[in-house]
Amino acid sequence: MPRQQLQTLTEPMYYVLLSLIEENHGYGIMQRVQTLTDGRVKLGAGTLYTLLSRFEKEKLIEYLREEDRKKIYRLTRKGYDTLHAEYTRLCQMVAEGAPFFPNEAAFSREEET
Amino acid sequence: MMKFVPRYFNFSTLDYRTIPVYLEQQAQHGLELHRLVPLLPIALFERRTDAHRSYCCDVQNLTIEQEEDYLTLCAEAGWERIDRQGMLYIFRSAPGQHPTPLHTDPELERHNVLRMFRSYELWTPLSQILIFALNCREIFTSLLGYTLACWAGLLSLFYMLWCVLTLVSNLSMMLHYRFASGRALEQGEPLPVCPLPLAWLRGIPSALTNLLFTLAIGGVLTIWLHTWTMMLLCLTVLLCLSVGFYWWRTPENTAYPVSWKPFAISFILLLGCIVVSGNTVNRYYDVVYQMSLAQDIPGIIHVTDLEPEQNGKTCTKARFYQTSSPFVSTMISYEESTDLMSSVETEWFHCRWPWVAQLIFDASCGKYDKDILDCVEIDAAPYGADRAVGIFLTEVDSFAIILQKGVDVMTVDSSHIVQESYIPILAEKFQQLHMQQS
Repeated sequence: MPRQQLQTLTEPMYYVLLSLIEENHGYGIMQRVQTLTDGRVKLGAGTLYTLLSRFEKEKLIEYLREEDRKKIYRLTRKGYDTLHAEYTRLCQMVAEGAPFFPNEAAFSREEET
Repeated sequence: MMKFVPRYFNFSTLDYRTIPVYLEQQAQHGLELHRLVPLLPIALFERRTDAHRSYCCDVQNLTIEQEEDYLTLCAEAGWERIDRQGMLYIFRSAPGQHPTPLHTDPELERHNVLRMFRSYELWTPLSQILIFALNCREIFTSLLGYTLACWAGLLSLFYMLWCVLTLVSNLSMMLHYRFASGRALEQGEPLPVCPLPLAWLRGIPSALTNLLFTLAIGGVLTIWLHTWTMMLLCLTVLLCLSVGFYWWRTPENTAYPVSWKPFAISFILLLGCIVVSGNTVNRYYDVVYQMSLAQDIPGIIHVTDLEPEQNGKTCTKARFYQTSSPFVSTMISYEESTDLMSSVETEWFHCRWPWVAQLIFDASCGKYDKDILDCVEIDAAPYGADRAVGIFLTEVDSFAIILQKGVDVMTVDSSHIVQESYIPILAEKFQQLHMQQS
């Protein structure tokens, strides 16, 4: 059976969709992602263009209008649901992992001794 | 000192990560890429002493509208497009700047590159081979005997060879990239960069096949236009086309289909060359010249041969054509007609192998079959042939006879009512040709 497209999102995919909860254009998305992640995640123009084309094709985002030769996009309902599903999945993963990391400092001390 | 320095530049799409490495190397020698020369594997570099620039290359297949969006985004991100070659887009940063690389998601990059490579560089040669295979029999049987068409057939064969080579080469490159990049991703390493010597090496077959292709076109033009001078003129036109592409490209749009001007000028030049040389027009209408040529060749049938009464008919059109091809060592076509609509056309092939003669014989029968005319097997013995087929149309007063013996095939198409008295004439002409060639 073929794997369902965009069932799970990669890190760049997640942040691009997150940036498009509000309308934004290509370069704006790159800056927004950098701000959101404190510069941890950087998006290349090629990566972003490929993602935007793919999301638009999958109807996760929609093209709204053009301003100063820049295309403005926004998340669609389907895109929001996909993003929310990923958010829930990540929260669940964090919650399931939390009991295993009660005290990081104690683990470090044990390792030293 | 030359303003621009030309360098060999012929990279495969999958070597997109090698191009920046090569450009960095050139930059260390003070050379910066200025432009690529369209249709030729050459790049022009200029001498610059600016601060260090970064280079990047991406693989995209975009329409003009998409390209505009893509380039705007890249420009905002700090990447200025230098030029493109097919699906390869080459960028540079501003001096002293180090923008974020174009691709920051290796998995997506790999997926995208492989998808585009599969779609355009694997399926294109494969689909062409399939189309050729489906039409193979038709191409051989209907075109083999006719010189120009035969060269077109040979060109098709060259082209197919090129397609097969391209397919094998592309497939091996794709598999190599697929495995190497897959392994790199598993180990958390950057995607592989093909070493420069290997990338050059991979470019050589495509450059060679392009050369073969050009030579094949040159061969066809030589045969068609009869003279080497004409071929040189045509190659000059091709060169003009390449130079024209270069000069008429605007800085805003360097996509290849740019301007109709080089095409129009090349076409006018080519047409002018043909008309000035008179190779086609004059030879067709110079009746005396054509007939005098045909007189020297035995086996040519004149209108008067089928009308022994000599009723004063004058030949008004004669077309004589003699040439050779890789499959047919000599092919003669002679057509003579009078103003009283009396005509006879003789085609004679001396093939290099009997199977070619067989194919031409079948193809000639097939040609009449297509016109819904019935080919009738007739006794070959009176003509001294191995096989003979006749097409007789009494309602329009015409006949055609196709004869084959060994490697020789003769077709006589006439606007006369078939008569018993023609048999010895045709037999004599056929034997003349066969004996002479043997």
